[in-house]
Amino acid sequence: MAVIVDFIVQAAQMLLVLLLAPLLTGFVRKVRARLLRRQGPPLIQPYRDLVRLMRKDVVLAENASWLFRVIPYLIFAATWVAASLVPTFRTGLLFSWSADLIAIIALLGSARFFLALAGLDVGTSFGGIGSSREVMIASLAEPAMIMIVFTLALIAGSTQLSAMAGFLASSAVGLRVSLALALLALIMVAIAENARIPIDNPATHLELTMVHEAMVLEYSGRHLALIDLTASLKLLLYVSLIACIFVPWGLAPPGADLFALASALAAYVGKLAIGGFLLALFETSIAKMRVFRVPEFLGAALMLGLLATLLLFVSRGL
Amino acid sequence: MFAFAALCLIAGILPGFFIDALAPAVQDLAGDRMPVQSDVAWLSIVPIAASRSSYNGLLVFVFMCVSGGLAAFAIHRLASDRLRRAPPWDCGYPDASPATQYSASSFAQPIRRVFGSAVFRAREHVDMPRPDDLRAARLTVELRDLVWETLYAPIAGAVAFAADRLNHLQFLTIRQFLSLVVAALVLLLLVLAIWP
Repeated sequence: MAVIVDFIVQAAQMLLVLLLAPLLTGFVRKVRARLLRRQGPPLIQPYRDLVRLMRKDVVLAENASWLFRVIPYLIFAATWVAASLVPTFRTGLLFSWSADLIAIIALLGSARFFLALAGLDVGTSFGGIGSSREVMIASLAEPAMIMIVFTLALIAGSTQLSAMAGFLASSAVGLRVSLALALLALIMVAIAENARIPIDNPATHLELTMVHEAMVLEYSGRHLALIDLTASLKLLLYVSLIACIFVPWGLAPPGADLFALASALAAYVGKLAIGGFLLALFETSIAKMRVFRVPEFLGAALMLGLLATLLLFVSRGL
Repeated sequence: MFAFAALCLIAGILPGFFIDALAPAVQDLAGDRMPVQSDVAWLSIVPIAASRSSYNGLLVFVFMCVSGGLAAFAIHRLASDRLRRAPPWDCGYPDASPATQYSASSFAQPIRRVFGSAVFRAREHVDMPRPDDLRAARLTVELRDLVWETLYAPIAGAVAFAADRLNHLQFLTIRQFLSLVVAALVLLLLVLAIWP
């Protein structure tokens, strides 16, 4: 019986992240529009966009290979699996032991690798420029992310997200400088990974500045819908990750009753809303960076992560 | 190449067997080894303890296949599976020339730009003629190989310097040369005699 309940909770988690992801994107867009004193699109606009794109024909470039057609499904699957392994409302999910935080980063890394391949597949300059810039950003964001994982693993003694959330929710943690540095670095990496404003603008098609949109320029129809959904899932994943590690309160423990699960779910939605609001606030308050200023931004994240790890090597109490 | 790629994939999906197979080498190098992984249930790997970290590549792979397959099936059945072929977007230039094609060096350009200034001390020199000057603009990048300059160049310089000085020995007369050989022999024998 317990296994069946665990299985249902895991399936609910997979479905939940999939269903909430476009809503979070819509919410961020809405808040941004309101902050700029515009009306903004309705919250459910991303769902409508997805349905409209799904129904359209795919217009495929004549020289596109089979890989180009498979990649949207591949990156969607990798990101979906990664997102469903992050504890959102309940720790100790059925399959959470199958992959730790490092495996989640590896899944996102392989999704990025395949997307960069797709950008190069058709052979247009646009796709190439997007891929090369994405790889440049990755070359700095991934080491920074690994440093953050080292910091958290040194504190929590585990790379397993459920164990981490459980440890950080306990009173044994206290206030630590290294955790503050890791949080700052993780926010910077999350902004870069999700192509948000100081790094990249998801709403623009200006060739001088675009990164993510340049890679997916040749995609249309259901393929584009999957890529948009993947981008939303990735945003949700990072907000959930920050919430699960740094704001782990309200997570239901394994074996919680239905009422505890419902309140944990409400807490999760609240955390997503606060995360989305803060993201929109940050995005409206800052201008887009030049592409070659990005390494300085991510270099700062890498240094913060490195500093946090070094502090922990000096003293485990920091 | 496909065989190696397939091996990489299998190593990622079933890492336990590879860890066990590499264990003797690790034992020799590090003096210790990971616990035997092939005994762990469900083909998963547990380096220290399940509460610290564990990974099951097979399950993640199956997960990905199922979710990707499910998405493909649902979209093709419920939404649309129509497909049209058309020329790719050419940015307004229909006649693509090989000169504009994206190459390996253009792919590496941003990374070179980011890391070049630190690792290779790259400096760009831009020679932009005035608007009334018909000369072509020139953009030159100067790279310096710091590893070569700091590690190898001093040794190579010292060897070249010594070779230059010793080159004189090749132009000695037969009398001078024989004196040198005898002197060297005496010196070596003295060293051998004095050496404890």
